[in-house]
Amino acid sequence: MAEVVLRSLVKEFPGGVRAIDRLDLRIEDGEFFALLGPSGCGKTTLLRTIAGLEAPTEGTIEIGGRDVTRVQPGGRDVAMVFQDYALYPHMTVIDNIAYPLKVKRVPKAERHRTAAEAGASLQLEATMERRPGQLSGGQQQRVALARAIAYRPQVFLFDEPLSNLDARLRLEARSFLKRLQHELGTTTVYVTHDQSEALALADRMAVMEAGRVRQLGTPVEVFRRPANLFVAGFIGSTPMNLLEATVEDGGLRVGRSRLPLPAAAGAHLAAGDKVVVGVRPEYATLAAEERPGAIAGQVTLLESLGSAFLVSVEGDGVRAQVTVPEGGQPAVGDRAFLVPDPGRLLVYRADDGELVGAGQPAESAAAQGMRATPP
Amino acid sequence: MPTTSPAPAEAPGGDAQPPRGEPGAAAVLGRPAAGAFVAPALLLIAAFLVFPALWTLYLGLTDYRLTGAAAVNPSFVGLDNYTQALSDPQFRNSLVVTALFVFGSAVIGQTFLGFALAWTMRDWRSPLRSVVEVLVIVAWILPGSVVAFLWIAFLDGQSGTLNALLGGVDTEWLLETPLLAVIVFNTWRGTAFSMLLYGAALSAVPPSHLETARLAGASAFQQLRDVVLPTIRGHILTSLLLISLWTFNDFTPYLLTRGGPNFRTDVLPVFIFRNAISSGQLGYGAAISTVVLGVNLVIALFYLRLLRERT
Amino acid sequence: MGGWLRLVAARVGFSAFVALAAAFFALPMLWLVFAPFDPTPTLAARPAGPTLANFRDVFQNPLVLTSLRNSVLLALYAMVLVVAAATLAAYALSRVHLPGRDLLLYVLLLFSSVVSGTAAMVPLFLLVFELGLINTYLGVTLVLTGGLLPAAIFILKDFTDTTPTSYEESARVFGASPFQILRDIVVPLVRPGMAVIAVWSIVNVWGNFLIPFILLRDPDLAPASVVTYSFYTEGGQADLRLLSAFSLLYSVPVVVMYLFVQRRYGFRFYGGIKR
Repeated sequence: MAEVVLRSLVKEFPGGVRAIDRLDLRIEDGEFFALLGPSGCGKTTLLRTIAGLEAPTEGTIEIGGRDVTRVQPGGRDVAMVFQDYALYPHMTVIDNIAYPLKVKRVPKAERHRTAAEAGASLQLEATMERRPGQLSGGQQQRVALARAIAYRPQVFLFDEPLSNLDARLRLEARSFLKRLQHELGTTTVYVTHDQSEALALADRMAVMEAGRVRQLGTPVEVFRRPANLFVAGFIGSTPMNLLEATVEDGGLRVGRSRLPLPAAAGAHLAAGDKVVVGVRPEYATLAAEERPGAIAGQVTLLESLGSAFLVSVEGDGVRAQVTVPEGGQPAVGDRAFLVPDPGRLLVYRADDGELVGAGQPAESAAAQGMRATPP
Repeated sequence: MPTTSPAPAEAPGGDAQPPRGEPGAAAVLGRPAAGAFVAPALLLIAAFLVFPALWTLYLGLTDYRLTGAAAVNPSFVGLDNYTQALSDPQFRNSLVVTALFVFGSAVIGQTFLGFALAWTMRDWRSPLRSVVEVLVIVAWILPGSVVAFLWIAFLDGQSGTLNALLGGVDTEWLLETPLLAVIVFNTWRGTAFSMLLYGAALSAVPPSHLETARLAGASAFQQLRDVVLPTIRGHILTSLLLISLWTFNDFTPYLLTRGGPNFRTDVLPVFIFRNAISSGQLGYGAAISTVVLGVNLVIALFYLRLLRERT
Repeated sequence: MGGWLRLVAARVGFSAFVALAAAFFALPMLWLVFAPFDPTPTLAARPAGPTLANFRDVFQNPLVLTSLRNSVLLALYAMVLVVAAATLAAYALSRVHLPGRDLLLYVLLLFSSVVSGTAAMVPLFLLVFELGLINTYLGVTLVLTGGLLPAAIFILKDFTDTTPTSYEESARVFGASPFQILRDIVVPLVRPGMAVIAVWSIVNVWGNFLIPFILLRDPDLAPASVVTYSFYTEGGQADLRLLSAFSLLYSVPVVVMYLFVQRRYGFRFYGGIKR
């Protein structure tokens, strides 16, 4: 069993910078776990701490039930794939793949055989005798993967391995990676700043900010019910609408419009409370006539998303966006009414950014064994 | 060949390493391994560079000799060596000669010639530039003893090439104008370093700065004075510092003139050699060495102060 | 119009200056080009001969050959020691952050410019004497190495600073020891830097006069730098045939090495300028 358990982990750098701030996390055996967050949030530091390249200031790390907090990097049975792949330029591909085994003093014939197998499984047979400098970006990435695979570790650690590939290749590599991990079944911790990547790849993910986990959950949970404004603003290819509102008469006043107040949230709010309403552009529709529970305004911008349009509607100081399938888009200047799906309305407290009526989603972390630390 | 070292253009202020690399990198190497790696070099440097320099301070206060009673039983004589030096006309002469030597060949000769060559050829791409550079650098690279003899031959009164070129002159340069000859020699020998350093510095001056000045009507000279020189001030100072120190400690004049005729080229290194090694007065020689180290320190501090004053 | 003329005049002036400078540098060297091939060389540089007789004389002269061999030995010993110690130290220093490290290196660098040889002549002599290493190559090598190391470390550290740490980190995570990392990953990567240091050490030691002059007594042990000097200072007329050919043979290796480094890596200045 190769689960990774972090308890009360703190990493402080000289100068007082807290890269990891009292983190508790449990990554299940065989899980594809993503660490998502903006630069500087501590995700890479966390990965390096698990690898052993950074020593934690406080707290413990367990891999496969073994306390590895004080264990040297080489003794943790993990393989790390770096953003720049770290392929040794003076060695051929096969020597690169075989290197971890050379370190373990595996005899040459055997380690070359294992390396060749790993390389073949990633379609690298033709490149075995070449140098990394002669390979394309995609090939280099696969060599780095092959090297990690040949090592047969308990845990894979990936530090933004796709960010050096160009966009088209990145998508292909993404699917490939997901399939590979599924076949191998190795516990994987994956760091990325690309939220779409995390959503696509992860079984579960942690969204981090400033050294803390702001939300822990499956991609669906994180997408549907972001636990706070930070996560709400971070997740989603099209930015979520976050509108200032006030609770009024059992509803939400947004500018001059009135939106329905979801019951789960309403139970915790009183009239006059300042909140922020969140609704994804994908979870709203556009109407040409006045509707109840809609935001009135004028169409100011149309952005093509390929098979849909992102329509910006502005009125009374309120600006919101909605996606509209192609063919249904209005013209700029038209009067329009943005109707959010009431079942998808999220209400956040204006003062601390927390989801109101959070109840279920945040507790599911506890149900899975470990609570995300409340910020 | 004079001891060559690269030219750091800035006095160190900060560390170029990204903060992330620090503790993590230590995990790669580990303090004990790092210590073991640094140990051999540190030991050699400590034993054969640092310790001798410090020991000089002590030795200068003794009457250590190579032979005789004091060799077996050296005694502490305090500042006697220093007072002896100060009243020794040969020492004072040596100081003056060395100062002239450094000023003439390093501060003026090598710097001007090196800079002039670097500036003139800065945009040249022709093979002529490579030829000139090779010539200048080979002058620097050829072994000291060979170069010394080349100049002895070149300057010979009867059959030297210089006099042959100048027509019916038969001046014995090394005997009649020894210090000048030695200064010219050292300029010839050491220009390469300045030329290369200024060449690199000039190519790092952003062309846009020069173009802005040119568009504003500045002449080439004004561009040089107002844009180039201020930009490379740091490099000028670093270069001056290094070549001043190197020239001050250069033993090569010995190979040309052995300090003569009549001590007219008796630079301090030769003076020390003669008194300490030849005559065996190690204590006295050490005291002079301490003075030399002290002067070097003053020179270094002087330049570093100027360096720090930039911006 | 006047401006155009001024431009041309400037051009001509600059070219003339460079030509003069080129002549200034070339003239003294001409003797080394002509005299070795001159059957009756004089102090003047004049084309004559050409003959290889002088070289025949040189190769039959045991003193000359021995001195050249000695130079080679000294250069190699120092080179090996400098490269080994400097590589280890540069790698360690560029990976582990010690407070005041840069300042220390800078100070040591200045130190080595000043202290190698002249200002520390006396204590070095005494130190080597006390260690019983007078008249040994070990003594000479140790002293020379001590003087060369600060600059060598400085240069190499520039190289090791620019190799990405991810290579070593990935190897470390795979369980490689610091020594394995050094051998398998770091050394292959900084080989160009090591080559530069190697050449630079050899060139420095090849031409070094003072240290062997002070520390070696045996004429059999003297390297070419000392022997060349003794050739033209022993009383009487120096044998110019022998001296010219010997000087050329003695000079050629360093010139060749310089050209080699120039071709391969370009004569750049490490540290400082390259920012």
